[in-house]
Amino acid sequence: MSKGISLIGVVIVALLSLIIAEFVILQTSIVDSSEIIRAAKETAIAEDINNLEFLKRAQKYTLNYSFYGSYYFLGKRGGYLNFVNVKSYDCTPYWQFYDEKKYPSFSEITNNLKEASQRIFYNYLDNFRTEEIAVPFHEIIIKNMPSSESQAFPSYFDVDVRARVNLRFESKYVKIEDKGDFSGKVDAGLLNEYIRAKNFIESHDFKQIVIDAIKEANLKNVCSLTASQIPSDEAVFSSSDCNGKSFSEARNLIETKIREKLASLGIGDVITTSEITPTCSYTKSDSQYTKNCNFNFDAGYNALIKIVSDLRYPLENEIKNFEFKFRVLVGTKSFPSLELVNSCQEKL
Amino acid sequence: MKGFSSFLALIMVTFLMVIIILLPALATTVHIRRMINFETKQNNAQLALLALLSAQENKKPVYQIISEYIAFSNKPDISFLKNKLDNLIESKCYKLYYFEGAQEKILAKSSCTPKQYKAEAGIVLPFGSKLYEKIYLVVD
Repeated sequence: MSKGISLIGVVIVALLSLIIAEFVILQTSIVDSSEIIRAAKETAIAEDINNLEFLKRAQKYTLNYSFYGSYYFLGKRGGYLNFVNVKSYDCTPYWQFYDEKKYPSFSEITNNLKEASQRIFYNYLDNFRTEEIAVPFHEIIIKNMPSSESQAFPSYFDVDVRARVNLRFESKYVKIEDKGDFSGKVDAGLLNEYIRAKNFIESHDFKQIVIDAIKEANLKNVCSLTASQIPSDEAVFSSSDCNGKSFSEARNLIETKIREKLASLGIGDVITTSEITPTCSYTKSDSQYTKNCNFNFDAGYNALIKIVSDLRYPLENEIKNFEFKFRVLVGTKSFPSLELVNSCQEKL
Repeated sequence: MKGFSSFLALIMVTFLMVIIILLPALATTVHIRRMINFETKQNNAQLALLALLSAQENKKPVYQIISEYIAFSNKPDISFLKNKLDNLIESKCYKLYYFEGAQEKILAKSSCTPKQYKAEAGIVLPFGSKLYEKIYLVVD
């Protein structure tokens, strides 16, 4: 009996000891685990904060690159963001199409700059958008943008970037919000180049270049030739008494003169054309025909004008000079072969 | 004899119960500790990458130098990255890289090959056809 009691006693003591030990171990383990889980959450939070920090770090560079990008984009498009009612060829607008000069006004340029930089900024930050990171839409405010071109231009734009809502990071453990607003200074390159481009087109009479080239070619426009058969128009023109040149040689001469004049202005990308139009009559005396001709000379060109800035920005795959481009089409008459127009598909 | 076998059975049952109770708790603790260790090291990799991108070299931000290196055809000198990473990473075992298509392009690496902790960051590139690239830092 006492043997049985002692065995039950041992079992009870053992079980009690076990329960106490288990309680202590479990308690420690639970406390430990909750601490560990808390630490794990903290680590995950720190990681999430870092992710948001990466985004915030990128914003400053994004602002600069957005402005440089907008200068590049608008510059190569003659200041236009869209070509609505604007003739263009390969995404370069005509600032002069025969006698019509048309280019963006100063207020159009400043509005286009704001719009383009904002769109590019958005495109940049869109890359950071994930399931966890909500990137808000930002408004770019240029605080010292001159309201007219008569005002002095700043070297740098003071820019405020205002987020419509906060930057937000939301993950399993954490929801972090931070202000997306920030300020920065950006090189104000576009405005000066626009003024240079505008002054360039206003200070040159591009049609006069054609008129002067024809004049300098020094070609006779009234000629006559007598022959036993009716002479051709070209024979009259190329006779030794007249120009001593074929039509094509004469046209070549005129077009070379145009190219030389444009080259002296730094314009090299040019398409030229010319025409010689004879108006002739002939008389017959004995067996000789005398042909009298009046020659009219016409010429024109389509030129791509690049105003190259001294300012250099990181763009595409190099640091390069920023350019302002536009086209000029002029002629003493209209030349369909020069009227190169196509639609531009390039968009921001 | 009967008492002894009962006692033995009791000890075995107790032992089994202890194992059954302790083992999951121990396993969970070990697993979580490993996870924490991984997360901490991972976090350190992220911090090292963040510190690197916040640094300057000859008064030019490292961020910008890396960005231009990725974008430009004429690559700037980035040999200084090794020195900076040697100072930032205690184990001195690291690899900083990005992908060009499917090809891995190394920006800096140590003599040993790290495998364990990987941090990544999005880098904005100069305006062009590609605006963004991810760079990765793997450390041990």
